[in-house]
Amino acid sequence: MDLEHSSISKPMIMAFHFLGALSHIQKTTTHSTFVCRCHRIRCAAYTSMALSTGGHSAWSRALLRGKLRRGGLRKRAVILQRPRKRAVRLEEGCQDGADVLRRLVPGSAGMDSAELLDETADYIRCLEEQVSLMRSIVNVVSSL
Amino acid sequence: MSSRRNRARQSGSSRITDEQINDLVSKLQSVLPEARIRRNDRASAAKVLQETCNYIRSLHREVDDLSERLSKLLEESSSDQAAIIRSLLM
Repeated sequence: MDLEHSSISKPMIMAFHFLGALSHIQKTTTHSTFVCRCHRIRCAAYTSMALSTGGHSAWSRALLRGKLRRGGLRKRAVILQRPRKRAVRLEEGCQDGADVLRRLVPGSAGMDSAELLDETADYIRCLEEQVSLMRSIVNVVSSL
Repeated sequence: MSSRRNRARQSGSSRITDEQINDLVSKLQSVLPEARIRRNDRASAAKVLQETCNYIRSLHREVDDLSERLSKLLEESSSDQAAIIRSLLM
């Protein structure tokens, strides 16, 4: 792994968080059900994904806010009110697609189309990294 | 189309935002994998959005599937595996 250019790269941060969470889950779920463990692993995946971006994107902040709320910690919800640009409209046929996208990408409900597309691209890139990380972990652990 | 007429009224700024939208749509298209959409054929924004939604859903399903496999693997393993996973961090 080439560490010359940057001190710590994003995939490494993601791997660090995810493996740490997996190790913790391993220790604490010896008597839990399969579904419970599965759910915790899934949550750990999305959390490590969100943490690796350092909170630069709205979807990562939305994921972490959701997690904090579920954990019982009530942080004061800071809603960043950006100056409302004139809403950018897509072509007529796209609005349904844009609405579906808003449901799929966390934290994107109030965004205009330009921000939405930006967030989506970032979200997809991170999802792909998370998927490839999980695939490599599965390969390593299953080949032991 | 009436929408075009409305955009023409706010002429200067809307031309810029249309370009912006096209740039973002092509950026999104470039993130999608090759198999989903033919890159040389510049597809409409609606098609790109639809493919994006499908792709995100499939990625979510993969995460769920991989979580299940990891869960099975952790279950089957002995307590040594915890040490092995920890050693992966080094």
